Amino acid sequence: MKKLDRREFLGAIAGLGGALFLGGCGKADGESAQAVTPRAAKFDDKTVVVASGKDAAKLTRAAVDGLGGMNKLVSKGDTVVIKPNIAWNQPPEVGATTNPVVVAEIVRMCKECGAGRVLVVDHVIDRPSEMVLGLTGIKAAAESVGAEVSAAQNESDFRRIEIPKGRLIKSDTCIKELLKADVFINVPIAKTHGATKLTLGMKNLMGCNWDRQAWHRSKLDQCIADYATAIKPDLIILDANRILLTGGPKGPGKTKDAGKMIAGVDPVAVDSYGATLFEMTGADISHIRLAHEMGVGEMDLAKLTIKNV
Amino acid sequence: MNSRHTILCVALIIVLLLAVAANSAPDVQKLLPVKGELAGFDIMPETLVYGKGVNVSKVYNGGYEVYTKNGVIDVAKQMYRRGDAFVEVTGHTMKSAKAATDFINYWAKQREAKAGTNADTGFGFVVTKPNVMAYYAMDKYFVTVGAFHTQGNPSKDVELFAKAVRKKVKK
Repeated sequence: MKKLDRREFLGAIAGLGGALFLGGCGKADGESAQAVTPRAAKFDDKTVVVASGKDAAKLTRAAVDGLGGMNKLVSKGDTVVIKPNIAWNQPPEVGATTNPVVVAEIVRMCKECGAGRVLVVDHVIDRPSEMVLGLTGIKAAAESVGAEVSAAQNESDFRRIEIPKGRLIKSDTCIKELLKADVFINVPIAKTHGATKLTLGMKNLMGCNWDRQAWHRSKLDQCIADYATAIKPDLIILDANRILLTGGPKGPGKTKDAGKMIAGVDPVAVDSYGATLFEMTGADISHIRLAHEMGVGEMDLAKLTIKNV
Repeated sequence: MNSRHTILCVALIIVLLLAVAANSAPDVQKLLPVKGELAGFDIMPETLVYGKGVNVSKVYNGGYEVYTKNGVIDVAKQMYRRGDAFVEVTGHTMKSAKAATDFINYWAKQREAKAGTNADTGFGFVVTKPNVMAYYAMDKYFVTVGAFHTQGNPSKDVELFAKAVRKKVKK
């Protein structure tokens, strides 16, 4: 028997009243909204590193080293939160979720820098979440190198945040552990998407909030751009080793072994480069263009240093 | 009316309300196999997801528009388990039987498969990579059955579930 759960109820109210985007979204944990103050970038924000090759682990390390190395970002005892795409019940070869080899290599690099706690977390879509963590290969891969892996599946796992620069969303929710972390690394996979054409780094942040449906009921691209004004990763590593060309976001579909790993700190710049792998530009993707207009980052690749390694 | 009668009345009302609530489940949800219907398989707790209209996104997230644009009205999904064997059944109410058939043809093209008619399972096709997954049009319903296991006989498991859904559609 279908139950009308709290999430559905809130969604229905929001859909009727349109009040969701006026500051009342996601009543996570009953706490007041928290202002999110991004830390100063540890890497040059005008540089995007593009590593090319076949070995996903080597690509990952090369991309981070190209920026200056993980030791510029992670210090001894730091808590690091890694946010891959672990949305779907699909094995890694489908290209719908971040390659577990990439996640494991990032964990390894963080541990080499003395990170105290490394948490790999996502708000998983398919159920049961434990099965998704297993089938994607991420749980086994990350735990084998010392990370904790969990799915943020309860509303109490989230906290309200303020989005003062948002055009549509003035507050929303974010995974608590991410807000408490010393370092936040966003690790999306590059793939096509039915609603937004592509899903890259900024779209991957959608998995940091509790109520995805609220964004779908509204203007999705604007919500993504708004959220990116508040939640800024310290490092983005875009897994483009194998990209999903059709059937995204869940797949299966046609894949291409692009053999790329893209690292940077400017979310718009990384996504804009990522779009080129699909023969598009940042301007072709609404949320990239919107985020650029809102000052989140630089969309024009000609104004960036693209460092090939 | 004494207290005994009151308790009986309250109990009767509760039973009636529960019965009404059970019957109020969306039709597409009633197509999903119930406990004990398929020997050996149990329903995995808290795996039932239902969405209608924009809430089809509860199942497909950003990919939902492909479904709604092709005529999906609502969707219900549930997972089943038998040891290490996992099967996911997803039923979709389409706006018409033709929309269901058209959607099969859409997916056949996407999955590079050829659709055909099977007396027990309807019009559709089965793919085996990356996992065994069946797509069927059953009257006004579009039904997918996916197996996530490789051991045993996932194709047979998928067929059993598809047949079970088809029987309910025929009723």
